[in-house]
Amino acid sequence: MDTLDNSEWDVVIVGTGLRQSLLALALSRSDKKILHIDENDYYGGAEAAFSLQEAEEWAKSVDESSTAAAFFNTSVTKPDLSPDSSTPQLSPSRKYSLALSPQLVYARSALIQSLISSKVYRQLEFLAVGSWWVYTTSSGNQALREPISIHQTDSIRGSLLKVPSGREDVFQDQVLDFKSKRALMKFLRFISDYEEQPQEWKKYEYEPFTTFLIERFKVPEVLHAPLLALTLTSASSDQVSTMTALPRIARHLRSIGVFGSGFGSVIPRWGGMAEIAQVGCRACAVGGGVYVLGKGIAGEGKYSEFDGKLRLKDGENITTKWCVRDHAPSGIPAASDNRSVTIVSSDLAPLFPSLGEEAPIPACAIINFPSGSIPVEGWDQERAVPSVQIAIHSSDTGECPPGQSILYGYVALSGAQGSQLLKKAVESLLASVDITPAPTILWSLQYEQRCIPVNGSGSLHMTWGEGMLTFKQSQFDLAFDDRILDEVKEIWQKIMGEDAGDFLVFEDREPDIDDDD
Amino acid sequence: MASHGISRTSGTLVRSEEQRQNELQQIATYKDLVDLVNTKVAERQYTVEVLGLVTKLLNENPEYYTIWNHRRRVLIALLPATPPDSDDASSPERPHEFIDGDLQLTFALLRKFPKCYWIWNHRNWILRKGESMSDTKLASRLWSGELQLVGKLLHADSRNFHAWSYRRDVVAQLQRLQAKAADSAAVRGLVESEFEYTTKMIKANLSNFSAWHNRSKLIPRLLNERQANGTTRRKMLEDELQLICTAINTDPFDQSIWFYHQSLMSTISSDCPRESMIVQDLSNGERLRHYAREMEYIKEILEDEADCKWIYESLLSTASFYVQVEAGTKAFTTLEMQSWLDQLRRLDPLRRGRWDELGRRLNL
Repeated sequence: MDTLDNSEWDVVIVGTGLRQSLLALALSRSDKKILHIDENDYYGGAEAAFSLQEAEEWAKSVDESSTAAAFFNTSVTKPDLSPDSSTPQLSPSRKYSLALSPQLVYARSALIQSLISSKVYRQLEFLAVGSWWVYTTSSGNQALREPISIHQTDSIRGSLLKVPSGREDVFQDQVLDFKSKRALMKFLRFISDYEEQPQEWKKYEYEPFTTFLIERFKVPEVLHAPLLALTLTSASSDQVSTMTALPRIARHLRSIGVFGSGFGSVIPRWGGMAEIAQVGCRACAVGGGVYVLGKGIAGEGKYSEFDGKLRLKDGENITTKWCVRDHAPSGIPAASDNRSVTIVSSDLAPLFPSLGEEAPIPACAIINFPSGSIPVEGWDQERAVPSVQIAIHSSDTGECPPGQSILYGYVALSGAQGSQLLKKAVESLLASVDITPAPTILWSLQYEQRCIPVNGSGSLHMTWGEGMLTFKQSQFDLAFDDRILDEVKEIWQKIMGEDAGDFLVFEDREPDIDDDD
Repeated sequence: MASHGISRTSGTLVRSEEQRQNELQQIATYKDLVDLVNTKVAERQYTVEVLGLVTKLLNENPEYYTIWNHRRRVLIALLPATPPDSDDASSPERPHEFIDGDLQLTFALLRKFPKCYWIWNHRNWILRKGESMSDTKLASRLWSGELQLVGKLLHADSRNFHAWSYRRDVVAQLQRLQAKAADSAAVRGLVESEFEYTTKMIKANLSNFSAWHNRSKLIPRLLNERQANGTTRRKMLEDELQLICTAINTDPFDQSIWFYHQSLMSTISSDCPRESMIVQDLSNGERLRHYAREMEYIKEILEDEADCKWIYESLLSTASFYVQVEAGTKAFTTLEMQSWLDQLRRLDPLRRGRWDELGRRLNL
């Protein structure tokens, strides 16, 4: 078509982020006339993946003036690398695929099931998430167990301890004393069906999880950090309630072994959730959906009654029955998280031990830095520091060339303190890995991401007028949250109405249709 | 029904009328095939055609063991009678095609029915037949191939006792061939690696009866191969006790771990047959020290797991070993033993008769 002006649609989807793309996938077999636009000139929105150059351009393009933009305060650091051949160098831009959303997906997640039942799983590759580690300094805790390295660098002296994720890990642990092992095992047995025993934890629901561990299971402090690491939240240790921790730990432990022994979650290859977003859009395009990049909606989106008319930024007027988009900020100042992407000159092999004979090679390692393990300048000692999460992706993901790895950092702390904390965490991590040559930082990107609060109503999405549906945003989570799928399903049901059929359940298309294998 | 902690799923029970008719048809066809095979065999028609019919039937129902017997009769008739000389320069590189064929058949069937006795049995028979028709080199290759195969099957299901038992047989055959070639280093190497294998399997999954059992069988053999003296043997016993105690501490609710503990305790007792002993010259004093230490250790676990019945059973069992050596012991009292028995009655009331009998045996 030559122009979108005066075109009529059944559904207009704005933005090609993961939510919108999953919706596009869900609608790909319907007979709806779909227009899917994105004001960026790339797919993926907030879940996109970038080459090095694209990342640098993205960092520059971020709108620092708006208090509503999802991303802000970006900066790229490129250490001076002497050009002689012995110093590791940055590779060409296209060798990298840096993810804005490096999430892991638990084995029992509904997302995996949906990708299979919608048949798009064949276009995706998944890699195993391997070991989880906790960073500790010897000032904080006594030497807990055989550390993989104690490395002294100026004032930093830390080590990485593997988190036990089941009975056999606890069995092989060399340093925990017998009583601590018993306490931990008792807790692990409890968590396997904790929902059936509400009397054990109901009264601790809103109490800190650590209190519950001590009072109910006599789990010694030495084990708090590893167990908190399994919750994969950035909240500080005293902020994590029992009600938050239990389902997350249960999800982690119940997922282990589902796809193969030794691991419980996977990451998509080639750049995090961006791949899944691409696959969703591709499916919708095959089904007849029209895709236009570099097109946005005019107006800041204060929604009142939606009358079916939309105006695009280039001036086109279109009409549609349904419009689905991200929810615009409500003007309430939003908290923000600090994020970072660091390219490192080493494969950090000690952090990726084998998962067992004939098990898949892990491509992701998770490092947790508990409250207090990294000092923060000027911090009010009364409050606990949020914990830092770093997900390391190996080159098997295709996100960087062999011999390098990507460190994705996340901390629920805004401003300079947050970005300093992330930087220090990355440095401490690299200093504590026993590998020669010592790893160096080749490039890094820091940014902040707003967690835009939306007034909570029961529903997962917001409806404006007869046809405007908006996705609520949520705070970044290193693990894919299945509620996103629920959100997509609610919107899909609204659009499809009565003859909806099953959500994301399709038959294979005719064999002549393109099917990447 | 849950067996040893693993639940079994039941198949679907609801059938439509169409499905039922299909099944009736399948049953009729199957019965015809059975009749045909049985008739041909009764008429001693040991031909390739009958072999084909037998194959078809066995693919339908490998559990029909008589048909496996028939198969062996047919094969004996079809295979060459005289085995080649062991040093025959024209000895085959590959086993006879019928041997090969049956190896493939049993392999395919084992993947679908890994717990069918008759398939394992037939495969074993085939290999022995194959060996009798080959030179030593080919025979070694056949049996080594088996070791790899059973390794893969155990990787798929590490608790399949058929596979473990087959593994022991394969190892024994390999050792026989190695002994024939006077290769004692290889024999020892195989025992060591089998022992390592059990360690690896246990580390992957503590709850593996067969792995622990195999380990218990290997240890006396291992000590013999290492020509271990009293000190080495004592060290081995200590290490194994340490290992099993760590396992008990990690999961006192797992039965397979307690079984191995029990088997170690039985090697300490004076009743132990010589070929199963770990230490061959234990003094009574040493025995008592072991028993006392075990009981103390297990009692410590009671602090955290007062409701674990295996602990009480084990305490009573160790106490009775102790009392066999020293009747008038002060290490524990009759009152204590009585209280452990009461705990068993409380925790496992369905086995009341068993606890009563145990009490009588221990004079409680």
